Amino acid sequence: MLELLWLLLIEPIRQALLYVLEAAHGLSGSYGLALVILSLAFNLLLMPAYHLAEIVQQRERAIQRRMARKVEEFKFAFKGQERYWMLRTLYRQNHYHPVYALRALLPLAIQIPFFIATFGLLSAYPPLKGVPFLGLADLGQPDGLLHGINLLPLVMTALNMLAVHLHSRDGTRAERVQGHVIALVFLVFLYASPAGLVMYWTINNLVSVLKSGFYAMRRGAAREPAGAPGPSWAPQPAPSIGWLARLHAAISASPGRLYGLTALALFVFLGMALPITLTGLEDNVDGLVGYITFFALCSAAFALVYGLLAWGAYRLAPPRLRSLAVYLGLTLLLALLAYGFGYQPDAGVLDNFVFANPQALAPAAAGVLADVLVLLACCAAAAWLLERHPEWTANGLIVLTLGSLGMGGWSLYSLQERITRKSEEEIAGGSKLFNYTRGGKNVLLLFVDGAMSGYIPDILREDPQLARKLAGFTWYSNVVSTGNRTINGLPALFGGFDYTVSQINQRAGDSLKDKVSAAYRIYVENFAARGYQVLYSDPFWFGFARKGDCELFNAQYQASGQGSCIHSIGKQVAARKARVREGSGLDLFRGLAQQYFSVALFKVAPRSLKQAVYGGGQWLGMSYSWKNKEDKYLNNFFSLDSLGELSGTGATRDTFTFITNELTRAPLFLKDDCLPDRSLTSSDQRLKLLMNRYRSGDTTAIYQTTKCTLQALGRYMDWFRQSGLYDRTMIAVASDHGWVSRNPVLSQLPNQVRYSMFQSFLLFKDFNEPGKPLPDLRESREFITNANVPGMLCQSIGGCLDKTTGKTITRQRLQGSVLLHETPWQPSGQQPGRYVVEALYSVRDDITQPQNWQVIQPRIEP
Amino acid sequence: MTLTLLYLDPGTGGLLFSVVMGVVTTAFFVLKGLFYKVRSLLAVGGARPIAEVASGADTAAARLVIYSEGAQYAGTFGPIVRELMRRGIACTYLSSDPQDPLLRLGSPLVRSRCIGKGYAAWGELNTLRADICLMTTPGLDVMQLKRSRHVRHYAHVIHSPTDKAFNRPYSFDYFDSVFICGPHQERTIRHLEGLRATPVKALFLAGCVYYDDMATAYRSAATGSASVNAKLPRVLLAPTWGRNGLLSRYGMEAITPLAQAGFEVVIRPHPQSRVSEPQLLDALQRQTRGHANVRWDDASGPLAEMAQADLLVSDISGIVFDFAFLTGKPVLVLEFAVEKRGFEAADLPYEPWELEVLDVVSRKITSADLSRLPDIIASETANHQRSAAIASLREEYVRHFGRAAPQVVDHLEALLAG
Repeated sequence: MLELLWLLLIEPIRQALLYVLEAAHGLSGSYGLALVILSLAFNLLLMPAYHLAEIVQQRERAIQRRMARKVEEFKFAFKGQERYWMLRTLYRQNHYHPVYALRALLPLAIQIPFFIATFGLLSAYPPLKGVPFLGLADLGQPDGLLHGINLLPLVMTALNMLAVHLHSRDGTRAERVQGHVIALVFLVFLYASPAGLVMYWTINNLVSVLKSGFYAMRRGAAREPAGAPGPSWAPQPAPSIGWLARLHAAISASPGRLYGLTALALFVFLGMALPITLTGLEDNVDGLVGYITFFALCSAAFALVYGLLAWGAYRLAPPRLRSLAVYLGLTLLLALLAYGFGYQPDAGVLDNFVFANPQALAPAAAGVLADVLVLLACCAAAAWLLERHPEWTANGLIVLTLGSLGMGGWSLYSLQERITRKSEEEIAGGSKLFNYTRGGKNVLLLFVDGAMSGYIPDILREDPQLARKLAGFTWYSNVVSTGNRTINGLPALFGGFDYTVSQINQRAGDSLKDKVSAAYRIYVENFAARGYQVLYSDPFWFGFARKGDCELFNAQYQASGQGSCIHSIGKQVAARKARVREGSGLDLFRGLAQQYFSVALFKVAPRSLKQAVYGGGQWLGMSYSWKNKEDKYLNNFFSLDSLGELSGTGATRDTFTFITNELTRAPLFLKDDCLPDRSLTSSDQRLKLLMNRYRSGDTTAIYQTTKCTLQALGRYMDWFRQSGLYDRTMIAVASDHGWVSRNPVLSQLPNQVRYSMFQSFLLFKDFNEPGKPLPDLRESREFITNANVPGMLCQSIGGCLDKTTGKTITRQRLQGSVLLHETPWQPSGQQPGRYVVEALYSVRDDITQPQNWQVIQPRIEP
Repeated sequence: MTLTLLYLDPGTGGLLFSVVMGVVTTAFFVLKGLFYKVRSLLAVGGARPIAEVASGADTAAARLVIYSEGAQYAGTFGPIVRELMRRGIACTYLSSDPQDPLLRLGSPLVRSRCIGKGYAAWGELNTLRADICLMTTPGLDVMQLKRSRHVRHYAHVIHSPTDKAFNRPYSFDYFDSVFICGPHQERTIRHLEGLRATPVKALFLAGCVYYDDMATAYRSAATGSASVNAKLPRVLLAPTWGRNGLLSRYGMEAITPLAQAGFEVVIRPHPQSRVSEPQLLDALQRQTRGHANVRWDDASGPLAEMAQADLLVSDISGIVFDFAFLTGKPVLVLEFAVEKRGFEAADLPYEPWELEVLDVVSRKITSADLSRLPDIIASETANHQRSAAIASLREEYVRHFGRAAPQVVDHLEALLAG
């Protein structure tokens, strides 16, 4: 929280001061003069705040003076409860409350960030070291002018005390004593500070003397006329501009109600409903058990604080300020609604809180003009509503609040429903999720989301032992995927070539969901028909649910005994995660809540401010991207690494198992133990070798993550061997697509990074003859795709019948070229009955050769 | 990340201290208020009705509620309730005193109930439902007694002829109307309204209701009474209680000259003296045993003694005006220094009425005069101009003397109709 405050409040001021200091240095050529200019500029900037503070303090003094006689009288005449009642009524009749002393906080709140920023900047500013100025030998050291005694702090204190004297001449003795004590405290505090800093404050105090002298003279002048009534602190009514006066009059009819409703609507809409609605769009609810309670408690706590602050501000504010608050609040609310539900720039897919196309957020002149017009329209609409239709406005605010509560409530409910689904429940410790048979055949399809085989040669060079661990496997270096996303690449891994984007789009049918989901049925129906026990773990996008709709799957296949579906990613890993993660599970919740609040702010921000809110993925310092990615990484890494522990040999019949892991979709810089380390950056010496090799931080992270994935796979294969299952198990490890990176296998392509999206991953091992020695992992240069995998697996049962097409899927060599499709990543980006093809390419034969790639439909960049 | 210490210039430093003090004071004030409020809330529900008279006028009864602190105000509310009954107007009568005789009127028009004292009573009254609530209790919305949101109109009925200068501050500020006795009370209330910018109240010039019964009772008491010793005046010594009281200030110094002069002296101490200063009274009673012409009177009403007395010796007690206005006989008042702090008088730019007119209704004496009291008394009883001056003062400042209740009920009727 403190860091956030620092980032939002102090750092911008510090930067501004630094800019002024450096600009002044550039102009004057002297840091001494630059400090003088900085001090004057600082004082000039804070002049209005000081003026406001002075007015507030004078008001307080005047009202205290006015009541002093009665207060003394009551203290003499009454005691205890009776004195309290009398004083309370006195305050009431003077429209005063002790809490009004807090009005003084406003100017203070404005000034404090400046003080902190200036002090932080100058107390250790390296360029001041060794710089002489006037009689000062070194602005970076204490002056020591009086035979080693620092003179400047004494001068500063003398000026400080003079300022106190002038400032509190009209105040009480206590005020004067306080002022002098503060001056002495700061003498002690600053005595040994660098001369540059003390000089800065000395100039500040000089300005303070002038200011205090000016105000003292003015107060004296104000008291001059004999017989004039006591100081009137009440703000003089400003000359009213017609519509403002009308607006104030209209709001004044029921200011409390309008204020309360506006404040409530703002909080409920922006603070609660929008963030939780956006959270509800989260496709991955892993680890969110308890989040709803957390969010509800947080909202209640914030509501309490916000409510008290809003109430306090209302009680403290004079009537005109209350009206102004209502007007500005309503204007803000209208603007939030306009931007929240109106035009949004297309910055592309938001993947782990990073936009695919952030340049679309760049502010443009037309955008600024449009924002000004929208805001002016909101100002006008708010004024019109409040002046002409205050009752409508109140009703509208109630409707908005209730609507927001409804929207938020529904999102919470649906989120909770997803979080608490049976398939999402944690499994008991020691349970075996995956069971294989020792008496028959096992077929395993391990799906590694977004993995690329292009990194395998480098990995094998770095970890040669892997070739032995993966003995009997063939790795395919010339492999591509027919899609660039899971939603368009994974169906072919289930259904083969009839489930590429083009084939699905060509097939009749109103529901893309049904057409895609049909692919997932082929293994179930065919292997079950041959007596296999079929298990799908996280069949992504089945039923168009990102992690796969296990409830739908089980409803269709579990009762008939054909197959079952579970979610396994992130299960049984909490203890291991807790050992390596900093902080508690609440940190995850807090980070997520902050992230979604910042996304909500982004959504309602004016067009020209959106880039500032996004801040290159920093989200106003509330980015949860890394932590979120770390969480995803750890869930998947530990799940992959635990496969052996979660597997058993209790199956009584042949098995077909599909397991998903998306470790390769959470690439991070890793330590040698494969655990992420946030302190690692692309400039870190430990990554120098890899950075030199790949010339990209992202690619380096992908390499490291892929290596750890292969090593974890190797350990799983060890388990198979130790369990006596290795020879009787056909294993395919395949991916659905690649990812943008400097994929080494495509290094000769001018479009290496983009085409890397289609460079997928395939390892295959057939059943082996028991006891026969297996060769180490070997490479195949066969041109192959993800769509070939079903044929390879179905071959084990003599082919699979696809009831949708009537064709039988068997292993076939790839002929000719393959179409590669780019589509949006999510169901909502598609048309109801077909994929939206954003770009189309083809490749044939050797994918390392540029001439084999062809652009058929280029992508149109926004 | 650590925050560096901040430096403040004098203005801001002072401001910071003001803020800190403000926060502390506010917190203290708010917590104190909360404490009193919670205490009030916790005490709610302590009321136990002891006299519930069924009537067929429940709905109408809720429209007019009269609240009395106790039997001592029966003289004020009795005439009003009876006048209401005479006109067939229903009301609810709430009292904090189970001994209040008005709880037992037995009229179907009056629904009466004892609501207990202190927090129990305040709890009930603060959530009262009525069109009009009439009371003699000052300090509405200032002390514990708050305006109920469900009462349309709060009316205060003044129960003494004096100016309200010696009430606590803000006694009448939050009433909607006040039944006053005379123009002196209007002057003070209007002045305070202007000074404090509080809403302008309706002021009904109705008179002092408790004189209604008193005047009648006094007339019958006076008819059958005559001074025992026709030669020497009979002196009623009726002081107030506490440190300003004549007895506590001068004791036997005031009594002895009267006793030695042979006057028939009746000492009637303030009822509160028996509670607050019993040792003083016991000592004085012992010392006066040797004087056969000195008698102590503790009867519940003062009227019999007032009727028989030829002169009253007092201090700042309210009996001064009652005695003067009912009997027209002379009064001697021991001069006293007035402490205005803690009273409405502190906010008045003029002397309170009771001090202004003290010379009209009485003769002021000092402690130096005590030794020659017999001469002064003789002179005063022979002064027949005093009686005329008192009658004139009563005429001007205590309107509708002896018939104020019908005036009050006239206005209540109008308020109910409005």
